[in-house]
Amino acid sequence: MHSATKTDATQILKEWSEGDKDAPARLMPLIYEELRRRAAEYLRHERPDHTLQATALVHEAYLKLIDQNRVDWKTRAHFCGVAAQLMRRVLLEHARGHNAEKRGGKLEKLYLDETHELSDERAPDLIALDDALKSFTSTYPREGEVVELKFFGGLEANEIAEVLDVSQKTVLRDWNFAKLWLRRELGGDRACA
Amino acid sequence: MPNESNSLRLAGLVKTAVELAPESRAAFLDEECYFDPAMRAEIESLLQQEEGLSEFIKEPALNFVAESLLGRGALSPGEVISHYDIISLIGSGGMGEVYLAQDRQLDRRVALKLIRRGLNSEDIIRHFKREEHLLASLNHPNVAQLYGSGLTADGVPFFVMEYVEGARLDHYCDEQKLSIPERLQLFRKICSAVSYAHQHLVIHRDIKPANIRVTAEGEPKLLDFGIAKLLGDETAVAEQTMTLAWVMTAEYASPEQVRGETMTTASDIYSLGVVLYELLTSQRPYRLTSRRPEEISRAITEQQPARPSSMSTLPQPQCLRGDLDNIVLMAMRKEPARRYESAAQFSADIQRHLEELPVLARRDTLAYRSGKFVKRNRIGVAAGALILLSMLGGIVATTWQARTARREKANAESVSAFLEKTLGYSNPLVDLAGKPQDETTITDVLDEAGRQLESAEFATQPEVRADLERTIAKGYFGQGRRDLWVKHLKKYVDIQRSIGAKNDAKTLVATANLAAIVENEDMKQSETLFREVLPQMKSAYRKGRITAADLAETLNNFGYLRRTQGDSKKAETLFREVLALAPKLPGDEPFVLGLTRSTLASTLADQGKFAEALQTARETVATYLQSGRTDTADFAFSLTILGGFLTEQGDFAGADTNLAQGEAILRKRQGAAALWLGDNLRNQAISFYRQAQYTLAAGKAAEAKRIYLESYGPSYDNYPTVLIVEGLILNETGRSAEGEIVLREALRIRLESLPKSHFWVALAQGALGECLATQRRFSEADPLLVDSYNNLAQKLGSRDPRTRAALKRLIAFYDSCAKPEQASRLRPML
Repeated sequence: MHSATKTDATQILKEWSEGDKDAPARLMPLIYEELRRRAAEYLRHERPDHTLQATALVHEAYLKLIDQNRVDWKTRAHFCGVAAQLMRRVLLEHARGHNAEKRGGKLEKLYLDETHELSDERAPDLIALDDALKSFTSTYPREGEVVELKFFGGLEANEIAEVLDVSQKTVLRDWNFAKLWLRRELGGDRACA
Repeated sequence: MPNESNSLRLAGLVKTAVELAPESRAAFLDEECYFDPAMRAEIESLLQQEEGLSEFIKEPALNFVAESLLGRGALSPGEVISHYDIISLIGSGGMGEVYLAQDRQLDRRVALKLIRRGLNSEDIIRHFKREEHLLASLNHPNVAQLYGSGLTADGVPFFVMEYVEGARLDHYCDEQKLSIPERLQLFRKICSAVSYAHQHLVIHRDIKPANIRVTAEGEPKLLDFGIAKLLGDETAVAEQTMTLAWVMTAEYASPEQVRGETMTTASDIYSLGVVLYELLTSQRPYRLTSRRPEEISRAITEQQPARPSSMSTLPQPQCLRGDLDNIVLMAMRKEPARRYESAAQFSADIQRHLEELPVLARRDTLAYRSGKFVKRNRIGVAAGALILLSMLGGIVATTWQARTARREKANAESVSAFLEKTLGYSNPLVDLAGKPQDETTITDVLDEAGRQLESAEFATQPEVRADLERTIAKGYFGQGRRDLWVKHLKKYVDIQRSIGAKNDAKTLVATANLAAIVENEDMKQSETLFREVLPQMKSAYRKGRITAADLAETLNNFGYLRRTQGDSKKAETLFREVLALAPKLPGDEPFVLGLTRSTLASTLADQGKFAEALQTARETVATYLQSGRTDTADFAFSLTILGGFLTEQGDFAGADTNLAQGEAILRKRQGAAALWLGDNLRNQAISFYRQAQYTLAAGKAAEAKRIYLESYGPSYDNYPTVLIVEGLILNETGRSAEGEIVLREALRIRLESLPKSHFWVALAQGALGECLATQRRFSEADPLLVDSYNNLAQKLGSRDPRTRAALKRLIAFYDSCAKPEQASRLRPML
C-alpha cells in the first residue's frame, strides 16, 4: 500500500465525518482494491485451509488504509460500514457467477477436461438472501443495516453499535428480529446454518 | 403489514416477545394484540422461525464462499491479469485452468484460460500471434468467440474467450430428455458452427462433448476452436497419448490423428460423427476391454464401430436403423476422403433424413470400401468449389474489419503459409496460378478464381457461385482494387437477390452491401436501399439471424453516407449505435471500433461540437495507446483525425507530431490503407499551408491527390478537399489563376454531389472567394465569401474554428477592398 493511498483514504474519511456527502463514492474504490488484494493474499500464503475471516479482512484493510492517529472512532465506524457494503457486493457478484455454472440441475463446470471437477460447498443461497434483505431493508432500514454489517461485513455487535451509533442491546434486538423475518421469507429453516 | 406504523409496531412487539420467557409470551400478545388478530398472527408466524435460529446466518457470508471465492488455482480472485479481473476458478484440466474474469475495458464477462506451465509458452504465443486474426474473426452464434491472448506477469500464456454459461452437450440432452429429432436438430447447429469455421480456414481438432456447451436458451456453443493447434502440432499427439486426459477422450480423435498424420477438415467431421454416435446411443462407439492407449489407438484405426441402432440405450433404438446408422458411420469412416465432404453436407444429410427424403449415406459394404463406389462426377465440381471457398474463406475472415473500416489486408505470404500448414493441402496457390508459391500473389488467385466462376459449371449452382463472388470481392477489396471489388460484389448481390427470399439473412446483408456500393454513383438510391434494409436488419439481428458485425457494418456505411449527405446529426446517431454494439463485435475493441470513434469525432465537428469532437479524438488515440495497438493502420487513422482537429485549433506543433507519427505507420502499409495515407498527407498539407510553409504543403498535397486518384478516383469524398488545399497554395504562391481552376473544379464536384447548403460546399466557396479576392475580382468574391460565412455560421455555429476562419477571411476581404465600415461592423463578432 502506497502511503499516498493511506493519506488519501484517511483524508476522505475525515472529510466524510465533517459532512462531505461525496466522500463515500471516493472512498469505495480504495477500500475495494484493498479488500481484493488482501483476499488474494490469503489464498496464496496465509491460510492453507482457506478459511478467511471477513472481520479480519475488514480490520486489516482498515489498518492498512487508515492512519490511526488522524481519525476518531466515528470515522472508523464509517469505514466499516462502507467495507460491509463492498463485501456484500463482491460476494453477491461471486455468487451470481458461481450459480450460473449450476444452471440445469447438477453442478456444471465449464471447459473441464474430464479429469478434474471442482467441488461445491454447502453455502447459504446468497442471492436469495440478498433479495430478501433488500425487501426487508426497505421497511426496516436500520435492522437491514445491522444484517449487512454482521453477515456481510463480519462485524461484531459492539462494533455495529459503534457504526450505527446505537446501543449494543438495540443491535441484538434488531438482529434477532431480522433473522426471524428473513428466515420466514426464505421459506423456513433451510440449510443456511 | 399495510403501513409504516404497523411495521414499526410489529418490529417492536416481536423484539420484545423474543426476549420474554416462552410462557409469558401468550399473555403479552393477548394484551398487545387484543383488537388486532391479524397482527398477532403475523407475530406468531415470525416466532415460529425461532427454533434453531442461532445457527441461521451465524457465520459471516464470506466464510461460506471463501473456498470457491478463493479457489485453488494459480490465480486468485481479485487478481488482475492485463485488464481482466479474475473472479473465480471455474475449471481445470490437462491444458490448464479456466477462470471466470471481468474484462475491465469492455465491461463484460470472459473466460480466461491459463495454459499449464511446461507447455512451451513462446511457441504458443508465436503460433497464436500468427493465427490470432483468423481465430478471433470467427464470429458465429454457435462458436464461443476467442477474444485474444496474452502473458501473465510470470510469462504464462493465457487465452481470453467468450464466457459461455451452459451444460455439456451430452448432459444437456439427457437432462432435457431430448427426443432423437431434437438431438439431431441441436447437432445440426453444431455442424453449422464447424462448417463456418472450416470456411474460415480453422479446424477445431478437439471436438468432443466437453467442448460443446448448451446455453439455457438451448443454443449449442463450440469452445476452443483452433486452440488444440496452438498448443502443439500433430507430432505431439504421440506424447499426449500417455496422459490421462487423452485416454479419457481419445475416442473422439480420428484415425489419422491417432496415427500422427495431418489433420484436415475431415478429421473434425469424424469427431462430429463420434459425438452424434454418442448422442443417439448414450454409448461410446468402440468396444474396449481396457483403456490402455494401445488398445484405444488400435480400435480407432481398425475396429468398425457397432451400428448405433444395435447399441442405443435410448427409447426406440429401432428408429436409428437405416438412415441414421448410415449417416453416423459415414461420418466416422476410417478414410478421410470417404467421409462427408463437409460439415454442411453432413448436416444436410441429417436434414434430408428428418424430412424423410433419401439420404446420401449408404451402408458401407465391402464393395464400397474397396473403392467401387465412385461418385466422382458429383464430387468434381463441388469439391473444387469447396476447396476454393475454404481457401478464400481466410480472406473473408480477415476482411470484415477491412470492409467496415477500410483497412489493409492480410498479405499473400500469411495466407499461403497458413494453407500449407493448417489445412495440409498441396499448395493450391501453385496449381491455380501456375507460378512458384513465393511469386504468387493473392491477386493471381483471385483472378483465376474469377475466371473459373465464369465457366458454365457454376451456372447450375448459384449459391456456390454467390458465395465465391462475395469472397473474391472481399479479396479484391483487401488488395485495394476497388473496381474489381465493386464488380464482383455486384455480381454476388445480383445472384443472392435472385435466389434468396427478400428477408433472408444473406439477402439482407447483400442488399446492405449494394447500398454501400452504389453510394458513390447514386446517393439517393443508396439512401433508399439503406432505409429499406436497416429496420429489417435490426429485426433480424434481434432474432439472431444476422451477426452484430453485419449490422454494425451497415450502420457504419449508412453513417458515412448520411455524413456525406450533410446529415451529420443522423450519422452521429448511427455511429453511436455501432459503439453500443461493441461488446458483441469480434476482436479487440480499439481494433474494431477505433475507426467508428474517429469518424464519430468528425461528425461531431461537422455539427459545430468542436470541443466534444476534439475530446473524442483525443480519447480514441488514448485508448489505442493504452491497449498497445499502436502499429496499426486504424491507430494511424485516429492520429490523422486528431491532427486535423489540432490544426483547426491552431496547435500546429501538436498537429504535426500526430500526423507525422500516423504517416510513419501508414508508409509501412499497402492496399486499402493507401486512402488513409492520402488523408494523412492532406491534413499535413493543410497544417503546413496554415503555417505558410508552402513548398512542404504543396508536396504533401500533390502526393495525397495522386493517391486519391489512383486508389479511388475523383468521386472520393475527400478529393475536393485536397483540391482546395492545392488551389489555396497556388493562390498564395503567385499562381492564383491556376489556383482558381483547381478551386472551381472542387466547388463543381461539391455542388454536383451535395446540396448547396452543405458546409463542404461553403468551404469550397470560401476558398474560391479568397482566390478571386487575391486577383482583386472583388464583385465575384463578395457573394462567395458572404455565402460561405453565413452557411458555416448556420451549420457549425459561430464559435467553430472553421466559421471563425471564414469570418476572418471576410473581414480581411472588406479591409482589402476598402470597405472599412463593413469590416468594423463584423470585427466585434470575432
